[in-house]
Amino acid sequence: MEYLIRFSQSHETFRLPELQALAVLEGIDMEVVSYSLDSPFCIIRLPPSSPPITTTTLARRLIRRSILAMSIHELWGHGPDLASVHAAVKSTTSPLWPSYLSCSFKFTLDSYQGSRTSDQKVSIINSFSYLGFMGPIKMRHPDQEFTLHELWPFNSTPLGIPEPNHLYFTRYLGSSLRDLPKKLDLKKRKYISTTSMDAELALITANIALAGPGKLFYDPFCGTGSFPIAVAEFGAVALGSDIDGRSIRGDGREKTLKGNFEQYGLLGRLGGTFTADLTNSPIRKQELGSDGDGVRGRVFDGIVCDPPYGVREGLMVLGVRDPEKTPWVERKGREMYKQADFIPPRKPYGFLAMLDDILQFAAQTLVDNGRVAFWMPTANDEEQEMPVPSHPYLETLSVSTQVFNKWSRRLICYRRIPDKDVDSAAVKAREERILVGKTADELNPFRKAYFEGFQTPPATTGTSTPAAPATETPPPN
Amino acid sequence: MVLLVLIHFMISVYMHHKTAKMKLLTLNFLTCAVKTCKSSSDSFPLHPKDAELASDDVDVNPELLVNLLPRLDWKALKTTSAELGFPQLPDSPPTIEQLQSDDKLLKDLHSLLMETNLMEGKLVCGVCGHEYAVREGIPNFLLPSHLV
Repeated sequence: MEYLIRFSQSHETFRLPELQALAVLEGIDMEVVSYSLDSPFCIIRLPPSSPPITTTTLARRLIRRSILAMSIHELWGHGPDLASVHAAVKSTTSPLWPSYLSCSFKFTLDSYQGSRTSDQKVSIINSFSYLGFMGPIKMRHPDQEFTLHELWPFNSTPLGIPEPNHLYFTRYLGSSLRDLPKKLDLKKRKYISTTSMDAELALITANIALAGPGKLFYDPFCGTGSFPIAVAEFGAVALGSDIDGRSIRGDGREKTLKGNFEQYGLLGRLGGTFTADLTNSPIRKQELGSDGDGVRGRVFDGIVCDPPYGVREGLMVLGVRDPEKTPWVERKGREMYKQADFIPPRKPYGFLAMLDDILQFAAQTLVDNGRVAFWMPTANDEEQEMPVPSHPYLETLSVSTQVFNKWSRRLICYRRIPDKDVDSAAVKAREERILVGKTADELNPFRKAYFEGFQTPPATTGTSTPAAPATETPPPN
Repeated sequence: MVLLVLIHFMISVYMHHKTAKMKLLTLNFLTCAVKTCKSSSDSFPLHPKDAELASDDVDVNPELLVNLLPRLDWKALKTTSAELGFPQLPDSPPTIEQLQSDDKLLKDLHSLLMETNLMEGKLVCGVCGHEYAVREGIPNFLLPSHLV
């Protein structure tokens, strides 16, 4: 049977990765029949299921925790005009009609990018009278809801376009968690910072990474806890760390990462937080290629993060920038590091090196088929676009993009490949390459392009002139 | 003066309530951050010193314990548990079937891993002796440059 998913027409490139992740999570063998970034209507096919679970149940399960899908419907017929919809409904669904003869019901019209007058609505709804439903019509909480979805061309009302491009007739089955982002809205969260990820995208990230009950998740750049909260909301236990312990502590009273978990009643799912640097991580790791059963030795079901982009503040890791020029920095460290208020020195860190370190860390700590999903920025100009990083132990599953004025950020999701399936040639190639660079700009092509205003590089390399970021763009972190 | 002491006391109680905590579960995943220590098995688990613990009520999550059981380093857990003065754990971990069928075992393990929190103290590496301070439930694993 075919089903119609009614998506929200927003964050379009995240919709299919989220839906496909949910199919994996629910163990549903879903086939996407038709999908377009320009349409909120997606047709999928589900295989016949074995009792006691009906296919209808599977359809409801598929989107029950989706953020970007709004509802799922049994597809009775579709076509380019109303006549072809009627023909399809009559030819394929007449055996279903008697089941709905006496229940209460309502008809709705879901017109995307278009509208109908009330007279038109009534006449369209009446054209379905051959279904013969005799039950009472109830506008609130009917037993069944039938919908005619219409896909109109863009701007159809001002352009005076008389008819939609495509129509779908459906029976409503179930809804999603489309309202969940409101619960976790940053505007109402007690403790946030300038770089807290908005609730909707954090939840989508958690879905794409398969966060769920009984699982252990980790965010190595947790900040105020947006991702740990999102994975915990879906039932996972979350660990978080940050190189800056102040972001976890907050004001030490009400505005703390833990306070945010309390606010949402998720405290039982906060495993712990600690101050640490990814390049010198205290997390127990497994040497690559040495893990027999793919679980023992590796710790996490998922890793989700929005690493710092190094625009607001240069990226830093532990260490001294130039140990030969400033030997006293290290000497002082040796003498002072045991004191409680000692702050270890830090040095600039490469953006690409950091992404590579995240992937390496994920390969060493994710269980087989565990997922890592992280955000990275890139310029919109193709010439300055940054490549999607890769790792031989990780399969790239999806790349979703949120576009701002001159730059975008991408959510990239990978799956940990079991050791036995890893391509040994790719492992060898990885061991032979080297990453170089010393200053913040050399180390961070995105930062450089950002401050040059994302202009295509001129023939002569001049000095970089900082350009103000576009006004409608939220500042990157 | 008395008032000041009283206020200070109230703040400390308040702070204790509001800042972070670290479940003992997490301790089973943490080792010394110094790279040269990683190759030695003595760098794991880290040894709690002057530990202050706190316990809280968390709903039992059998799914989580069953999922994590194979990933726990049981020997390390046994060491940690003994060092913190809890009753001795058996030498080998239960099987998943035992865990699923034995309610008391499940509750005990849940209580140890999920309801016991490390609040203050130090975590000490058995190889290099480095002491990672734990303040308000947040261990600090940042290293000085000569250890990076």
